Formats: sequence, structure tokens, C-alpha cells
Amino acid sequence: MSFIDALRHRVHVLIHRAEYERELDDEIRFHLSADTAWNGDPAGTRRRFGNVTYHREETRRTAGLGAGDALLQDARYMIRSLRHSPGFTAIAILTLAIGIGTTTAIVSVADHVLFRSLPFREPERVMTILERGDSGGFRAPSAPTAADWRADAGAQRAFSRMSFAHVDAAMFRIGDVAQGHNVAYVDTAFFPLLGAAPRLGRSLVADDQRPDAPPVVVLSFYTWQHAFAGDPSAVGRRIDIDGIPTTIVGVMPLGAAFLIGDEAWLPAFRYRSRSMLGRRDVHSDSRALGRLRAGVDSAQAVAPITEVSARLAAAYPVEQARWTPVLFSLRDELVGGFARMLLTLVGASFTVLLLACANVANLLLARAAARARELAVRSALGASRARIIRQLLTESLVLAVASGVLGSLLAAFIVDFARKHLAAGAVPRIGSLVLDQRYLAIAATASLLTALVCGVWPAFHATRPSTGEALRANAFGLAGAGSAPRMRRALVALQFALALMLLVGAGLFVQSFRRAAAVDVGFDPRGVVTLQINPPSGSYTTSGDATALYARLMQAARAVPGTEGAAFINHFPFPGALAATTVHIDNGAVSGGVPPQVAYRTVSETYLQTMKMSLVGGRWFDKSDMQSPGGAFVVNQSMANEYWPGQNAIGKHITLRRASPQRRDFGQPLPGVVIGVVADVHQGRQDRRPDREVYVPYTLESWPWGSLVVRSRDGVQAITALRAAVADVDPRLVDVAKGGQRFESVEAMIESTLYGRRLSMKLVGAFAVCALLLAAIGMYGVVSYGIVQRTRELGMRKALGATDGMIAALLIRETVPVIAAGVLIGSAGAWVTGRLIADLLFNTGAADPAIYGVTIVLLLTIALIATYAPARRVTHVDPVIAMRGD
Amino acid sequence: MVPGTLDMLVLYTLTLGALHGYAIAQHIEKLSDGVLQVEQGSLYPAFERLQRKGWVTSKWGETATGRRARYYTITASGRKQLGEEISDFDRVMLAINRVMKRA
Repeated sequence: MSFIDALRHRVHVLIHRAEYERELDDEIRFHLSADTAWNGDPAGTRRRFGNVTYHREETRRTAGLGAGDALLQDARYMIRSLRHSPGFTAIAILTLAIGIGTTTAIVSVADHVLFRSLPFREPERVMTILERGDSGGFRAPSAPTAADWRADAGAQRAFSRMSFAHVDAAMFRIGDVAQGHNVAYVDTAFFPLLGAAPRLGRSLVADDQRPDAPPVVVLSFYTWQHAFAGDPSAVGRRIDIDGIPTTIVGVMPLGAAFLIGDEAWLPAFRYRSRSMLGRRDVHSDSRALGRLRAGVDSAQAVAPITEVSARLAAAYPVEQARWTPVLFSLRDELVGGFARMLLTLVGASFTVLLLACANVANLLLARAAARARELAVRSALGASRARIIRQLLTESLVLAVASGVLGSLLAAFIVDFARKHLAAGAVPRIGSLVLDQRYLAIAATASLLTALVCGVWPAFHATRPSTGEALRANAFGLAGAGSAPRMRRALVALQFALALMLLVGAGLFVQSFRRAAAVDVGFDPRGVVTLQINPPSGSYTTSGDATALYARLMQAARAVPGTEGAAFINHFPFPGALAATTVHIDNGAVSGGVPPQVAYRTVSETYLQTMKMSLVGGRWFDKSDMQSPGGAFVVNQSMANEYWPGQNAIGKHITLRRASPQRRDFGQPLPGVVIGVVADVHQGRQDRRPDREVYVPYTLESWPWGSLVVRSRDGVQAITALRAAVADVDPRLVDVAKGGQRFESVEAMIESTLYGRRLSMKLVGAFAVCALLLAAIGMYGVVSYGIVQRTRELGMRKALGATDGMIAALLIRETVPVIAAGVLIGSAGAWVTGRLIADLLFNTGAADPAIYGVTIVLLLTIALIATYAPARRVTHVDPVIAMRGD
Repeated sequence: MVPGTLDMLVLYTLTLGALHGYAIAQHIEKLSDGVLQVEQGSLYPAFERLQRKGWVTSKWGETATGRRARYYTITASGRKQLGEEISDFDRVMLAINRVMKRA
């Protein structure tokens, strides 16, 4: 008979087990009565048959019913004994639940952010193609360059698809609400390249790209939520985009977003400034993408387009010389920065889980030792070692199941909390995180593993063949010696080591955060508010009108009581947008004559003073520079140091190129002389060195948008009055329903750039505190258990004349090597992990002795408390009772 | 006694016809002339093993005296197995005999 049939038989028996057992009983009863009837001797019958129960159990075991029985029996027994020691049970379950819960939550977050949240097909094969200049710095390729790459046969062999997208703002009018949105204008290959399935409706197809096709748009998840509250009937509705009635044909899923232009997708021909894209010197707000063919890696793919770029460099030296293409994986770009941090957090939570396991293992060990006699009796009565081990493992399994359930609840709570309170900017895609069955499976696995880890070793240890000792009831054994207490102490030392590692890690993150927060951003943000000025399309289109508008706005702001200064700039340095211009240093042999790029700021003469920036040399702009602009530029310290190291930048001649978008004189040269040098202002981030910047009067180069910057004595309280003042000039600028903007506090903006660091610091700190607590609990448990176990020994010492103090000192002395070992191992471990996370830290050495010092002292203090508290209980040891034996 | 040998004895007994458990026990005792002391209870795990392997089937029936008992029957594959087992057994006995003779 085959294996399958044997299996079927077993299953049949299992299903009909009641019937099976009944029949077996009947059969045996028949046998016995038949024998008695034959031989007339009941005693002889029994003798001939043998032990009925034994044989029946053997039969049942052969049929496969034995194991389940034993497990159930063990489980019932274990649950009963756990109920009788509620303290132990509660501590064990709680400890494990915390470890499992936090680990599940963190692993879920990491898994979601790093792997699942990008709803594209194979996101690691989608590459962004940027150009890197010889002087450092990156830029997006121009549309003609991207087209040239695409046309190359070699590139077509490396990439299955290539696409180009440009992002700009468009005015959406839905009902009577008008709102500006960033739109990505994409070509035919874009959606097939990404391979992202729409959540509703469809994405753009080739037919939509024809100029005579009916106008269609695809919305992003957030836009759909925001404008239609998630109404599925939005697909098919018509909305007005830049004056053209457009049908919504689809909605993309949550997470289908890039870093620019996430809010909607339109066919490329809809871009009203399409002619701009035909220029080779337009490099902003665009993105070139390519999907690698199977089997091609980025190194192989970059070769053919590098060749093309070399040819372009020869043909168009001004725009293309010394720029080489580089590939970045889209996945790395969107989530890569967080990978290291998330993995660090995963490591920290695993450490806490390990600590929790160690504590519970210790508890189980102590319990098993307490039941040594009971186990010895069982073993003497015939229970095999395997059976006892299985029983002890069942106990840890029961604990694990309970803590797994509790841990899952905790994880769900943490995840919910994370989703609600973590700003999506700091942790990408957190908004779509949901605790589903997959993660509960992770929790279940973690529980089972902890059961094994915690239970296996104590089970083996407790069933060592040393039965004789345990049975000797009156043994005066010095229970302080022996391998069991040694093992427990080793565990505690390990716990302290791990806790020290986490503490040092937390300390490093705290230091890193404080240093980042202390960076001087180059201006005084207190009391400064800023308003983004987006003139409604169709208004202020000429440079004269725009400039006049900005001047009137500054004047209106100044009239508001409390205003200390009002200024204008095209791109406020926070959150970090900028425009770049090509600069040519006259008489400068810089970087082999390649025109480098610097950040381009157009400012009012009041800017320096309003922002309270520092002038390092020369002078700032004055009124006459504003009225008849031309020829006067101010550079920042970085630029001065880079291009004129060791010299005075004042008086040097440079030529810029006009970079104001959508103006007819784009690209025209602007010669001038440096009249001043200002201290660097950080651009968007405190932890990166500021880039080179050049400032020009805003009247020289009129920008189609900008920021009004106001310093007020009343800070954010002044916003209402300022808003009214701006509304007087042009109400559309502050009417949010019609595309206007709100005033924002600059201090808040700068705070939010530190959000990520602050969060990491808090999380790692929380883990470290947990770890320290667990280690302290572990130490407490070992010492107090030791007292209980050594009651006789200690009683004896007391009877022989030792004072309470001396005994307490003895106990404390015994823990010194444990703590010392923990500190040593922990310090070594902390040094190693410090090197690993070094690049996550800002301006903080991984081996900062101050941090090590503080954390070691903290650890020692806690360890001492954890030792001393139970040691005080030696006063309860009554020598008379102890000496009485048991 | 090794379970394997017991299985073989049961199979051999069943070649005579369908028997219930007690009858099989009596037969085996007679077969061995009382030399092989088998605890009768150890037959029952053997019955279960044999059923699981498909060498034997069982059915409840009535004895001559009208009592309910479970009757075991050898199957075709059981007969085949017996054939194999007997040859194994013979081989072992032959070897033991040779050893004994030598000694």
C-alpha cells in the first residue's frame, strides 16, 4: 500500500477517533471475556494479556492518537501552573509582548516603505537619467538631449522604454473652486514604462497624445481625495484645466508619485510653453526616465547614452560640454535615504526583542530550577527526557501564543499611531501603511521563534541527568555555585551589553540632532513670515507689471504696524527650491573654462536687512541699484571661496545668463561686477554645505513668481493683518480657493527640516530606554531569585554572625563581574555599530567619549539600583527557618 | 519480541482464514508451542500497524456464539509481504543455524 493510503488511514482514524477508541475498547473487552470463558481464570487472563492500559495506549500511539493527547495534556497542565503563578506569567507575557509588538511594527513599516509602497512594476529597474557636470552638481537633461538619447540604437538596446516628463503648474477649476496643481506633462512611453496600474479608470494611452484628441487628464490619489473626497464617480467628470474642459479618465493609486509633479498627468502637447522645451538650455523641472531591459544593469545602460552625450558635447559645446549622464534607480531616489535609518531601527527593535527573550529565558530557567524535584520525580517514574522537554517547551509555547496575541494588538496600535502622526514628508508613503495579515504572520513567526529561543535552552538545562541531587531533600548545596546561576549571570551580562549599545546609539542620535539644530542657517528666522506670490495666469505677464506688483506688496507689508522689514526674493531658501544660472568668470581659468552653474536669487534691496544676513565684504544693493539695475552682483561666501580663493572677490567681473522662466530674453548674457560678499545661507537643509549663490536686483531680472518676506515684531500674530494688506493689493494672491497662498512661519519651516532627525532620535531613545529597563529587570530577577535559592546558605551565614549589611555587600560584590563584563562587551559592540551608522549622523564622531562616559555611568547607576533593591530583602532571611532544612 | 516478527506471525496465522483477535492469539501460542511468550495485548498495536500498511483488513462480525467481534483478513499485498518476510526469516534462520552448527 502506498504512502498516500497510509496517510488516508491515519486521517480517517483521527477524524473518527471517538468511534475508533470505542471499537478498540470493545475488541479488548471481547478478548478478555473470551479468554476467561475459555480458561475460566480471570487472573490468568489478565496475566496472559498483559497490562491492558499499556497495550491500549500503545495501540493508540501506533494509530497516531498519542501525540495530540500528550500535547493537549501538557498544555492543560501548563496553563494551570501558569495560572497559579500570575506574577511570573504576567511579567513574561508583557515582556515578550513588548518585544514582539515593537518588532512587528517596525518590520511592517520598513517592509512597506522600502518594498511595497511603490506601485510600479519592478521599481529597481526604472532609472532616472540626470547629467552630472565636471564641477559637481546635477541637472536634468533638456528635452532635445533626452530625445537624442532615445533615438540612439545602443540606448534602445539597453532600455526597453525611455520617457521624458516636464512639470509645471496649471490652474484647475473644479466647480467654482480654482486651485493650482503641479502637472506632469508626459509622453506616450511614460505610463507603459512605469507599469503602474491605475486605481480607477485608465492611464494615458497613445491616442490621447494626438493634438486632435479629446482632452483627458489622470489624477493622483491625493488630488482625487482632496478635490472629490474619494468619490469613484469622479472618473468621467469634466473639469477645467487652464481654461480647457478636460475629462478625468483615471486615478492613479496611492504612492504612484515622483518627487516633482505628483498631482496630475496630462499629455505633453497640452503644455502651453511647449516651445521652451525645444531649447537645449532649459534644464529645470524635467525628468528623463528609462526602464532597463532584462539582464542589463545600469553600468551597461549608461554607456550608449554617454556616447551620445559626447557627440552632443561636440555639437553644442555651450550647453553640453563637460556634462555626463548618470543613472539613479527611482526606488533609491524615492526611499533610499530612509533605508539606512529604517534598517537601523529594525536592528534596534530586534535587540530589544532579544533582551526580552533573554529575560523570559531567565525566568523560565529559574522556574524550571524551582521545579527540579518535581521534574526528577517525573523522570524517575518513566517520563523520557524528550517528553519532559516537550512539556517545558509547551509552556513557553503557551506564553508565546499569549504574548503573540498581545504583541499583535500592540503592533496594530503602534502602526495606527505612526500613520496618523508621522508627517509623510519625513517618512515617505507612511500614509498608506495598513496592518494586514502578512504582518500578523510576521508577529506569529516572531512569537514562535521566541518560544523556541526562550524555552529550548532552559528545557535542556533543567533535564540534565542529575536526578539524584535534586531528590535529596536535605541537600545543603551552595546554590550560588553551579552552572545554572552562571548561565543566568551570563545572560544578564549580555543584556547589559546590548542595552549599552542601544544607549550609545541613542546618545549619538541625540548629539547629531542637537548639532544639526544648532547650525546657523545664515539668517535670523525668528519673527519672519513668508508668502508665496503666484500671480494668477494671465495677470502681471510683463516684467514691468510683475516688478511693480512686488514693489507694491512690499510697500503694503511695510505699512502694517509691527513690520520691521519687507523684502522680495524669487526663491526663498527654505524649503529649498532654486533656479540656477550659468556663470562665466571673466579672466578666470576655472574648471578648464567650463561654464559652471550657481544658484540664482533675485532680491529687493531690503532683503539683507529683513533677513538679518551678514555682509562679509563690500556692500549690498541700494536703491539706485534697484532703480537702474545692471552690472552689480552680490555673491555668497561659498562662491567667493570657490572661484577666487585667497583673493578678494570684490571687483571681479562675471557674466551671468538670464534665467527667468517664460521671459523672452531667457539665456541672454548679463555682464557685471561683484560688489559684495554675504555669509552663506543654508538652502533647505542644515546638514549640507550651502551651494554657490549669486544675488541680483529683482528689477534686473523680473521673475514670474516669488516670495514676499516680512519680519514682524509680532511674528505669526501679524499674519492676519499682512494678509489683509496683500488682499488690498490683489485679493487673488491670498484667496486660497482661487489658487492663492498662505503666509507661513519661517521658523516652522526650519523646524520641519529637522523632523526626520528628531524622529530618529526619539525612536532610538525609546528603544534604548526599553532595553535598559529590561536589563535592569533581568538583573533584579537574578539577584532576588538567587536570594530565594540560597536561603539556606544565607541563613547559615547569618547564624554564623554575618550582618545584613555584610550579606548585602556580598551579593552586590558578586554582581560586579557581571556588570563589568556587560560594560566591556557593550562598549566594543557600541563602537562597531557606531561605525556602521556613522553616515546617518551629523557632525558627530562615532566614538565620542563623552557619550560613552555618560551612558556607562547611567548603566552602572541603574545596575546598582537593580542589585541593591532586592539585596535589601536579605533582612527577611530568618536564620532559624533557613537552618531547619525543609 | 521484535514487532516485525510478531507481524509476520499474525500474517501467517491469517493465511488460514479470517480470525478475530483472541483466536489469533491462541493460534500463535499453539504455533510456538508455548516457547514464544507473547503478551497477548501486544497483538493489538500489531493489528493497527498491519491495517495501516494495508496488509490486513478488519470487519466486525458475529462469532459462533453470537457475540460481536472484529475479524481480520489478510490482503493480497499482505500475502505478498508474507512471502517476502518468510524468505527473510528463513534466510535469518538459515544463517543462525549455520552459526549454531559451526559452534
